Amino acid sequence: MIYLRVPVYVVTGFLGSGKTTLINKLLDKRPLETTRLLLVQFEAGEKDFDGNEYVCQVLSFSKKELDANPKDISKKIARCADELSIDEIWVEWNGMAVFSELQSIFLERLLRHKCKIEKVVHIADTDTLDTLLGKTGAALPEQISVADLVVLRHVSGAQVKNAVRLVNSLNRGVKIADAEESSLIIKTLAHRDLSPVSTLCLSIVYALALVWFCSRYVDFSFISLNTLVNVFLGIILQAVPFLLLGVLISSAIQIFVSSRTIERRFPKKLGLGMLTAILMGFCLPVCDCASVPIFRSLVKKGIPVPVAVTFLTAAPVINPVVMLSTYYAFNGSLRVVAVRVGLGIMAALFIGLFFSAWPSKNELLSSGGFDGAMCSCGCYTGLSEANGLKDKLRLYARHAETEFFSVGKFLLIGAFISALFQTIGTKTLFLQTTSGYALSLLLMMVLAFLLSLCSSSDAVIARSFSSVFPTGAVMGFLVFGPMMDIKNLLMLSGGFSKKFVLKLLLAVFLICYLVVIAFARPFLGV
Amino acid sequence: MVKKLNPQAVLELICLLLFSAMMFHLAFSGKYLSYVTPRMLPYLYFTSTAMLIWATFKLPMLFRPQYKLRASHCLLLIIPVILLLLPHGTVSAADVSNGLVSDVGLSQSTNSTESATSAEENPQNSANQYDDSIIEQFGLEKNADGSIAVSDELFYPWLSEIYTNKDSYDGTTITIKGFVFRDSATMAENEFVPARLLMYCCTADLAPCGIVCEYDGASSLEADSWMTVTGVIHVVEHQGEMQPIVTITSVSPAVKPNDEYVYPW
Repeated sequence: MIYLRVPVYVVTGFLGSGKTTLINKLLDKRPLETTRLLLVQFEAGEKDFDGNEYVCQVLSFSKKELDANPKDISKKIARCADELSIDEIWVEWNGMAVFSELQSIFLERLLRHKCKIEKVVHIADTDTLDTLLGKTGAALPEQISVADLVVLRHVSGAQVKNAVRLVNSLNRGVKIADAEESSLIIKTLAHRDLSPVSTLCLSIVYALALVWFCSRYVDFSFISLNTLVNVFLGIILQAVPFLLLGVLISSAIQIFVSSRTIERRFPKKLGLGMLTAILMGFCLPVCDCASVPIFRSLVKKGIPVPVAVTFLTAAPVINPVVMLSTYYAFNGSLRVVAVRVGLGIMAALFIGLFFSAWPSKNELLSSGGFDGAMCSCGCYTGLSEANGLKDKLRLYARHAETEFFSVGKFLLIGAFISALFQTIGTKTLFLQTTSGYALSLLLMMVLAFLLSLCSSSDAVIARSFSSVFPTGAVMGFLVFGPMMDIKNLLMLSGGFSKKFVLKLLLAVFLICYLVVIAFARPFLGV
Repeated sequence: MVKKLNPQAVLELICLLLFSAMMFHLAFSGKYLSYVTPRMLPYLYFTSTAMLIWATFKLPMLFRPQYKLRASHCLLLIIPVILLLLPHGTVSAADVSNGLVSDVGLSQSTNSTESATSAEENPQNSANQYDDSIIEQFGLEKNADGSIAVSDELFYPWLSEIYTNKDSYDGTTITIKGFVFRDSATMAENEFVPARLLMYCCTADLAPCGIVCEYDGASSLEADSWMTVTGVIHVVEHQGEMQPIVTITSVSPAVKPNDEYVYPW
């Protein structure tokens, strides 16, 4: 028997964010005489549902029932839907319950063939979002990350920009609507999207067709595509193994070493602390994306800012994976490795001293305290729930994989730009004079900032630039790139005040520039 | 009752398996040598294995329902696989002489002051650390009559040996194979190089390297054609430095070697 599955619309949001009000408003606009509605509430709304105005059945479940017996809930919903031949189901989901529970109710067992989740809407108050995200655990970020539409209340408030940024960091490209614009919300809910998997497959087919078409009818004589492909693949093949090694080790540390242990062992005194920071940078092979969360937790635990900053800037440059990849990229040259590590340590120490000489007076941590790094992992069923070794291993694989993909896209872009440089621009950019050196160093550092490569795999790209730029300037790329780039900046601004992040960026840039221009060439012997 | 597949997990599983297979194929067949150096071999096997293990972690996800699907991240694995499958040759010497790949390698082996890369990567200097050991390390052997026949495999060791101990090769007869490379900006009318492309790290830094030859018919040789040349090494002043130069006695067409690139170890 083939029958249409009942469409399910889900509204998520924290307690008091206005879920019931939203549902009321949305249903109000529709001709409901002909539709038989079922509303499933998993939370006792503060506002009553105006069910009297139209034909509507309401089922309510408490969080306790949800935790105790989800199977029973599925059964009740199924029975109700059958008996009353329901046309549409609306779900008001509990703000403290993870979305995967809802999935297991509606997508597994009984209801899988009866229901189809059409759209998931999340509603949030811009004034409280930041604070809530910091305090309420895994459920809320997960709810935002799966939503098709995020509805924001109080869009005239002061926190709007911050809220939009938070939502975007959790769910890139999600549609965001003002709670007042009911018609827009309704339109979005009615819109049917293509599944991203089909979109991807389609776009690959289109891309291949385009390539085939271009190769026949477009003249590419100005650029050697063959060389471009070769150079790109060369860089990827050289970089991916080290990227993989980097994320495997850094994820292992994040999953298996608790941040509490690290914080407890850290000396609080300035000099000793800075030395420990550097030693730790060596012993904890985390790449730049993982050092930001550790940095944040260090600052939170009251470790002096100069010490924490030293760790943040030193760790990504001086860890063993980075040394290994640099060694291979530069043809087994220990000297380049030594200069990279030496200049990295030097710059990190200077940056630490800079922050102890000019301490930040204002509050460093931004108000909310939502750890932006946690979202990039996407492992919302976090560490606390992973108990046995098997669970931890599974979490480890997932964590490493997510990190690999999120960092890898920068590698792909970086490899492409680098390959393009190699194929077109080599002869035009020869900068070897003194003023040219200063300029090309600046250029390399800006490039490092923009490319946002992971430090475990940036050496090969730096190496490919060394035919275009002097090695001294390439050293700027190798030292500054891991310490600060767009990706790090985004992660930092998620947890720290704007003023502090700006100060850090400028300090790191200036000190790296000065250190490299003063020492790189004599140390390299060029 | 048939369980519904989770499309994202299926996609990820396929991508991981494809990438793993690609890495293994490249490493096992030796095709990776067109992109990276032999040193990367264990790392390629490692990547292939790690991807395979990740793929097995995907299996339990296959039937786990998931509302929000994501797919674009898989491009990271798909793009390299597709590019690899698209027909493309090795970087031809034509791209190099067109200036598309810089001629750092040549300037390194002929004139180190112009080199953009740091000094210790220079074949001469790195060779200095071993000095006599190059011969032992690679088992370089002269012919019975004291002449040198450079094989395809020992192109680079011979080159660095001749540049390192140039004085002891003054007057030696040499036979060497390479593609015809001429840089009209820095080379005289009667000069050319039977060159090979040298890979330091990956395709991104391919550069021609070879020994400069003097030959009256140099300008008539077709660029990038493979030649076996025979001549006598003379150490003379060339572009302000004492350098080994080969005075050609014979030139004959040759076939491209199996491994087109050379690696500096």
